[in-house]
Amino acid sequence: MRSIDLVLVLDARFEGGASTAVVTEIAALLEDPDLTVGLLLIKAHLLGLPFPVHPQIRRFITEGRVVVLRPHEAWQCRLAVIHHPVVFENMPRTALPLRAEQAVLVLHHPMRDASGALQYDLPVIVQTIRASLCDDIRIAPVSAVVRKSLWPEWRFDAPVTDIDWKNLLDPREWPFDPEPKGPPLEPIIIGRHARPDPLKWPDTREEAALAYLADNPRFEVRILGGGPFLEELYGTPLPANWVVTPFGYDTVPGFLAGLDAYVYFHSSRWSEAFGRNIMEALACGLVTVLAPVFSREFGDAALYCTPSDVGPMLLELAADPEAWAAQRHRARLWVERHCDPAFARDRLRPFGLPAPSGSMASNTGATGFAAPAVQRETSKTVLFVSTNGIGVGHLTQQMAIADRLPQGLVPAFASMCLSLHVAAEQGHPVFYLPHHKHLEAESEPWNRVLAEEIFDLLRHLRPVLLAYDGTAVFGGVTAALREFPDLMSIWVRRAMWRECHRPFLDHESTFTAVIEPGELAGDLDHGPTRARRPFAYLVPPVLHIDPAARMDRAAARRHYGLEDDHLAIALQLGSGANFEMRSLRRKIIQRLLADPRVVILDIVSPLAPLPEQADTPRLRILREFPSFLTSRAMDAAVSVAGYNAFHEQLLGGIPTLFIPNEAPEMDSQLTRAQWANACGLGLILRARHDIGALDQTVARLLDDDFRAACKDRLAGLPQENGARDIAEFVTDYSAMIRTDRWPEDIYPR
Amino acid sequence: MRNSIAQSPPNVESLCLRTDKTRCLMVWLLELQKNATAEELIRLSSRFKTWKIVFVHSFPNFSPMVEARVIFEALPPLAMLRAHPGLCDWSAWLQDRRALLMSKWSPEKEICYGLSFNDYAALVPKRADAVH
Repeated sequence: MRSIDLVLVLDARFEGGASTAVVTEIAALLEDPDLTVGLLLIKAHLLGLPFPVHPQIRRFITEGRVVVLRPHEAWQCRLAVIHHPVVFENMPRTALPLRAEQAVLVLHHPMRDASGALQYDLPVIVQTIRASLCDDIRIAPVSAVVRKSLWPEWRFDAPVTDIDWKNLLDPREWPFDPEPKGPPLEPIIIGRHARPDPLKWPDTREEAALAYLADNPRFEVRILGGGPFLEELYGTPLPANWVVTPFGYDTVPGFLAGLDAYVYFHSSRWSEAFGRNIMEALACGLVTVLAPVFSREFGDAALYCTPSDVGPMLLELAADPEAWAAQRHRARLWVERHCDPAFARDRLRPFGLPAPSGSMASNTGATGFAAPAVQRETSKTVLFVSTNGIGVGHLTQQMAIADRLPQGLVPAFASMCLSLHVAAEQGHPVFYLPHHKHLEAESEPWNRVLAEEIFDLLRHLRPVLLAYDGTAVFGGVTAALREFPDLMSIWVRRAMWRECHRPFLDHESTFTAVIEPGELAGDLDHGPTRARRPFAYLVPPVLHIDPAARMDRAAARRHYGLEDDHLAIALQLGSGANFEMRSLRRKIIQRLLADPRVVILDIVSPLAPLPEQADTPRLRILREFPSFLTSRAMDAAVSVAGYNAFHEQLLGGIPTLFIPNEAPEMDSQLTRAQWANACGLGLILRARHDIGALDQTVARLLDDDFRAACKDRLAGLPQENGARDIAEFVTDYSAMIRTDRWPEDIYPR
Repeated sequence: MRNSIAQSPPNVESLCLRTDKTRCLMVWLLELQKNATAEELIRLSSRFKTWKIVFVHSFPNFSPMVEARVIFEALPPLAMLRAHPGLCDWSAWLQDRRALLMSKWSPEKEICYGLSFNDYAALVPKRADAVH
């Protein structure tokens, strides 16, 4: 059993103030070199959507500054700090990899809301923690509001800490001018910020108009965190002096820096646990006006009144420069006194932390976690399952993810792809799952067999996560997954579906998460997946090889034996298995070779039979995978518009004539090609429709000025690679302990 | 789903892919040298025209089978199993794999070129060799 000083137990996917406070807490804790910090990631029930881990928490993991405890490991710690009761609202679905000497359960939310409705069952949660993690538990409210919500039912089998476990904030990160020029000039700029939620707003338009000084020319009101909900709540139009912008965490400091004063009133149905937004405003030294309910928490750092008094109170204070300045300093001082990150370490001392040098973790070698964070002697398998009837695209996309997994997670591939050897050749274990078309079998019995084949893989390999890639979700896949309801599973589902694919949307709920790789042409995609985007984790386009990691141009041209004056054109027309291209291929080659500078590199799909070698050295037939590695050698390309080829050509900066494969079962390659053409990022030639335009389209591709302009435009495309995001998602979700499943759903009789 | 190692599926008939009365010949080509196979496959196919022939091979690259347009199943090459000894208990998985293939095709006859299934299975790394 390995030891560590402190473990934070949390659902790290929350976006809001609680996670932000945890980030500040971790950063402060990591400043102590004697303290080792771990994370136990929980997938709690509250977030059904596939949120990734909070980006700043993710950064700590990537940098190897915290260790993530993974299922089936064995750890002990001196103290476990459990952030938010929701993480133990259900029993964990597997034994925790941790036993703690002591635990603190931090209550980030009142036990009862403003109407008295119970928000969580604290006695049951304490029992669950005791059964699964630690006997010695203390309860720590984050604020006076939360503490008060525990009464009058104070009957918990665990003591409550004397001090609040306040959210922390580093005042140095928030702008504060200690000596401004004077009180604000009119119009006085007041503002508020909160995530878009009607509960964060007064109940009625009348109240909101009073609190936020609607149509009062002496005030301008700036709102960060607006949205359609605001019009739904109050009707249109909103007051003319309200300036509404969408919420963004990164924009908060700049937003607050532009205000003179801060005003915050919320719904009578809402009970604000702490009010991090208020704390941020105070940190900036803003004169802050709040509902009286907050006075217990913030004392003289803020002013308190009813909505109708907001305007008069601010105007009166603005008329007194000294009083205005004093109020600003009181605000800032409160944050410095109550929220300093140094408290993160101070409040650990009663629990014996940091431990004296030489004890606990430092004795057992748990310190010095090298990045990437998943470094274990016990490797775990991630099983990638994919379709692929006619190409190698889904398998390639999975390899892009697999290549970016940290050491300790071993990818294995089970695929219907006939070119599975491309994964085997990169050293991965592979399993072939033949598609019924290749077995001359009916789909119904084949699905029964497929279920058994995947079931066998799951029970023997015991993967920590199954990643499925394909448009079609077969009954055999869902049947096998139903047998392992606790297994984390993701469906990496591309966009650009045709209508015939719509029934597969019904299988979304089979998977723990749906991830949609980015589509450069996504704005033009009006297919069945578009309406489901809000329920998926959207990442940038996925590429197997980062464009910047390709071989440099000189080396790549040497690789192909190209001379300086050669105009190298890649020809990549896919397997041809379901879309006839032979005749068009001949015509394009003929037209290209009419230019004496041209050398064609015909890169044949791993699935397609090799054509006969040509009788000219200017047509070279190659079978290469991955050909993108040497694509800097190319001056242009003629290519199908499958997902991988399309994004590689564009993000690789290669002017390309796209010939979409328009077979009805394919995704809409036509949309991609049309988008590239419309944006001046490429050319299009439809195999059946545009034969009369072949000469002029190829001539355009061979035109030096066109290619130069096209390359300039391509260079402006964003260069992110979503494969990295998905690999991090897989890494994090495969480490999560599930408490998101309700007992009545998962203990079958 | 079955619940013990190497157990045939509970309802074998429900897992059989063959819906007609064509007889099935299963041809094992485990660890066979690739170059020797293509001609052999065609010759066999022509001799058993009234049979459904299912080839079970362990070639890393499926191209010879794809180009011959035959029905095939694939088992991992021994080299792959040896490269990943700790991935699972390969012997146990192979026993289940064979049981499922038998249920899937219910072959009337089996012909073996290269290693027999048992010889192939005897060469897989043992669980004790596993790293994890």
